[in-house]
Amino acid sequence: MWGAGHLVRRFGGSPFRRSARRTHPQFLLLTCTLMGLVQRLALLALMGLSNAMFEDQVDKIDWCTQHIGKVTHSIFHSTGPHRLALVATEQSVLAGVDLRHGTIIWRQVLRADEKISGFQQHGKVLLSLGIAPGRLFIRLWSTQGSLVWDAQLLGSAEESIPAPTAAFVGSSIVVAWKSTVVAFHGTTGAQLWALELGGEASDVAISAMLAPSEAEIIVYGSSSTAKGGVSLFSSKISADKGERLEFGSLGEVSKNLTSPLIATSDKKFIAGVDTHASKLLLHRVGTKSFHSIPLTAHQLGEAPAMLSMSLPSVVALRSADGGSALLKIVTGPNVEVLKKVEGSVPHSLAQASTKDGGAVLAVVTVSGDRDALVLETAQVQGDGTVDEWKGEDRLPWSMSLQGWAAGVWLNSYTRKDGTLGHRLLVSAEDHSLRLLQAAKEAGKSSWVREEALASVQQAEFVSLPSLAVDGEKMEVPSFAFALPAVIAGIQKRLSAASSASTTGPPPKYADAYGTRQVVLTRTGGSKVFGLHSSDGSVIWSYFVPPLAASDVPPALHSLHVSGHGAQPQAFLLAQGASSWSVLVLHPFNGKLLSQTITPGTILHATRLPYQLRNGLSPLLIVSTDLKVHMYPSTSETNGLMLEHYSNLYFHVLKPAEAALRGYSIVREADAFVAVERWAMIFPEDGAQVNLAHFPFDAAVHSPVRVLGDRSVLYKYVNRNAVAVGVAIPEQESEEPSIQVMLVDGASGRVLHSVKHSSCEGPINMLLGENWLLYEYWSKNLMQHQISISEFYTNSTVSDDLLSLVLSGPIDYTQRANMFDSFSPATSDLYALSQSYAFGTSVAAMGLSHTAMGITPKNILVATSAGQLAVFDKRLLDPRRPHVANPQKMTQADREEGLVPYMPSLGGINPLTVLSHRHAIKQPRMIVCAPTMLESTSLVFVIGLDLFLSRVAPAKEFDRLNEDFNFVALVGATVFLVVATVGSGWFANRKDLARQWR
Amino acid sequence: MAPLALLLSLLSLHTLSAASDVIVSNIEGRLNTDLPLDGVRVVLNGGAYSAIPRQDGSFVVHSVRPGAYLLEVQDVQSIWPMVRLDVSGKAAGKLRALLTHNRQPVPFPLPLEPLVAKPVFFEKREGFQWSSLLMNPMAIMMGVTLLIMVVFPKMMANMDPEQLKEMQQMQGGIADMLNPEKLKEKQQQQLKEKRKDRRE
Repeated sequence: MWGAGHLVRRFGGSPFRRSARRTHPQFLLLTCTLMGLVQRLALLALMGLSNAMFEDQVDKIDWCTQHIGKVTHSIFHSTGPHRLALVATEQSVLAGVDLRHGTIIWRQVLRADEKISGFQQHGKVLLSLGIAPGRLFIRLWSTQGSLVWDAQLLGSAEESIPAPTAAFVGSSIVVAWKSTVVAFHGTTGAQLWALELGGEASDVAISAMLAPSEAEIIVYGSSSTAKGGVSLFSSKISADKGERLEFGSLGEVSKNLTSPLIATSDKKFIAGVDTHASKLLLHRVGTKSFHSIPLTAHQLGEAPAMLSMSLPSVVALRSADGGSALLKIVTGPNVEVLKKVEGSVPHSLAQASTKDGGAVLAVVTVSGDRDALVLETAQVQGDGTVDEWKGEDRLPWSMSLQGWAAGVWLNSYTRKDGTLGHRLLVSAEDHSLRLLQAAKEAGKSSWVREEALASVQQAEFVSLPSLAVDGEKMEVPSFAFALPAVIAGIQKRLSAASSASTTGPPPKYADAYGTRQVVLTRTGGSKVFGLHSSDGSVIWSYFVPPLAASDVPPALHSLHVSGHGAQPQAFLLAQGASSWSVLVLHPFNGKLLSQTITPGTILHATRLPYQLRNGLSPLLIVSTDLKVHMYPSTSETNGLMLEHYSNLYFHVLKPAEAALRGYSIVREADAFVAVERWAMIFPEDGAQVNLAHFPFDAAVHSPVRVLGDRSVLYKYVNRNAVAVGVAIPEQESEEPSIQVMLVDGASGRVLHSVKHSSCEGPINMLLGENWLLYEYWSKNLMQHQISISEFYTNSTVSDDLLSLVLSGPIDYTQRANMFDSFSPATSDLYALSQSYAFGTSVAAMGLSHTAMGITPKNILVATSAGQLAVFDKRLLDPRRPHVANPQKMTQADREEGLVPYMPSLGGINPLTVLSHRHAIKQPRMIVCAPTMLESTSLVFVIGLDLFLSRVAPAKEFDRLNEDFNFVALVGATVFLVVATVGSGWFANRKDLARQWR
Repeated sequence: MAPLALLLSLLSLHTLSAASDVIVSNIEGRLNTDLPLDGVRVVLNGGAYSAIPRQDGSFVVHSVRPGAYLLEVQDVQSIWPMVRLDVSGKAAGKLRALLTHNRQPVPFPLPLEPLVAKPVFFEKREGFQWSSLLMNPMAIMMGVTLLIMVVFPKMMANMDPEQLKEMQQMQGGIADMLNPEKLKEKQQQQLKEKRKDRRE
């Protein structure tokens, strides 16, 4: 603050301006710019006030982990020094993962709304096809991860967009999508030609493409006929000019083809399945018709569908009951079964192509004892002959810890003795990515990447116990032994300076400041992790297996932590297909303490703010039939519920119904049920609704705000308040708009509502104790905007000195409760609001959270680019005065510490960027947790990547700086001691000498 | 050569006819920086359209519908300028661009340079400095005391005997003032003198 004031006083003073007025207009302009610059500098200086990091704190107080997400496509590739698995994931990430260690060599994060549907490698390039609503993205990458070129095809934003197909033809790349075939130059990406095959038929869909030679392309597809059937066609296209050389119908099928056509890798056959008639449709390339082969004779189960595997003269089918079959095409044409696996056994098929045009087929099943994968392989030669099935390689696996291996990719290599070796890259049901090798080479290269951490949905912090958990030795710092500690510290620093690394894992017990905590994360992969807050290492993980046999792993509904000290428990709610479950986990080691399974579907679950005798809080779970369940369901919780049920309210946002519904709990025939009390219905056509809550465990330190003139504003602190943001997209007749409301969650009353027209979402909201902050895009002003509203009550309490003297201290309990949700509103809220332009788009916002709430607040902003910036709450304060010149601020405002209003918050000052050089990709939410130090709060950014750091909004006022100069302190003390002793001795000697004189 | 390249790239702003027959344009540009561009994205209006730069820094935002846009470079390593774009609906490739911070028009393909190539994210730690130790108020006090202890006696030694006497008297006066016992004595003396005076 001092620095800011100083700057302004020196340059913004009036003498400077007077001289400017007398001279040239240019000079005036310069002065104005300078003034602006000075103001900005002042603002920057103020922003810089909040804690910038020191460079040596990097990786000590923060960590960042990179993730890629659940792998859906993978290709093995060796490039230069690396052997890579090129992968595409559900989170639309392309990456090159090192096969030896599992580290990410390169990573490209695409738009979140883009779904990667095609992934091909050809030589040193990689082609990715991504579908977003109404668009097809065609991107060519080098296998080192840099973009070579990209292109786009436009389509209508339909619900079901058919998958595109692509082929490398000579030096060009041909992409077929719906009814269009487009060729791009292989190195420049220039569009060479485009051909529309549709003509008058509207629903032409190309589903397979073959390039028999560099001169021509054959595409295969389907179009509906007048009779309601489907006609299959093939079309030959010249590769250089895109001219249609031939177009022929191959015959009609009675019903729609539910699975796409597949071209076998030896380019001899096109195969499809008529699912309803259970017939295999087989076309030999070069002929003019399809053969239909009934599959019933092979007993392949009901409604088989084609698996998208391209094999030499072999097709793979999957039936409705989950069974799979590999069929070899023989002359006739007919098929014979190569391998059949029943649907009752979990299994996956994989393939790897060999150099001679053949392939290795692999069937992966689970062993009888369910703790290993069994790999069976068979080699298919280039000419179509299939060798014997061999090998029953067992690979280490645990169904209970990882779930089933949902995606399997086979990598075959020739050993030194000429035999084939196999590696498996496995994407499991818990989203983890593993490289497995057969027992013979076990441990040679096997690794695991926990990719469920890319889809973290909730994070809870639990302080580690102050005692060692697993008999670990604890160092007790003591002042009596300060010197060894100092020496040890110095030695540690020296050794750290000489060999920068080789420190073990951080200890699993609390430190004096409470910064060591367990971060419990609930993920989209049915897995819960306990992460260490010091370095992000996984302390434990727990995979929730399917609740019923033959079920998929359940979705995790929510995670609640209750209890304090060394005895907390984590309650995990999991929702299966027809039942839900409460799992009680030990938060420090992840052990399952107990589990109950109840049929039904969870509507809402919460932890009650009351404690049982054992120090734990019970859970309240409401199922969709509005029945109230308690956990633990004992007589004690029932008694607690009887006492409090009339005060319990909850609300549920239902995106499918575009409604927010509020419920209360009533007692009906000895049971508790939820009753709908209020509802808020939003416009259905694409309105985006999101909510923001003030964390119920966050402390509010002061109910008032004292102004500069010693008057007081009473904060409207309503713990039931919910912020509701509705973004209504552009309509034909109407402009887009956003509406932000503060709603009382108990009564459903709208306490405050603001509408911004011609503004667009997505709205990022942050609800503080008595304020609401939200960010949106202003279409008219072409800028990102942040608005803040602060809420105060219109109080009638006289709190001036005279009335305090006359009537004694205010008895707040006597005052009519301003926060009773159901009392008639005597007066509206007193809301103060201001808006500011912001320099970049915001992905998530968070609020620092300290133990007692005394420390001023910091607002944390995660930008779309992946930076985490810290803003002082003072910059987002609706009381910022509107003055042209900071000098014209009133004395009272200055005393209050207000910052003059500026229409823009400017860009992001690098000094406020906590994430420094890290890019936190796709940030979604920010979770803050208190530490033992009132000054410090932990900040956890959740996105594709995870980032944890600390903020101290008012600097670390309650501890010595980390750079505190202990050497100087010790030096000064030693000097004083020496000086005292020395001067005493000197004085004695002098005295003695005087006496002898 | 450069104008020719520019002309060529302007010509390459080809059109793609959308399904709904809206004329769309491609926006081309180049990010001029030495830093790697792996995580960098070029977005319009905070994410309505986005482009990935190639290894040489050039980028294409494909098939942009007519309208006004704010182009932003999302990068954590450098700070880039923002560009206001107007995409005309009359003809494909009819574009106008202004840098937002200085309102300067920019040609196509957009030549973008970072405003701050390598921003400083860290505060500088102030290391141990002797000057800061010496400028400590305690240290200054100690220094002054030391100075008095060492220098004053020497000054005394070099003084004129008469002056010394005078000073000693003065000092004695001051010392008397400061010493409470002596002060009392003095006051009593004064009282006695006064009483004497009264008696007289």
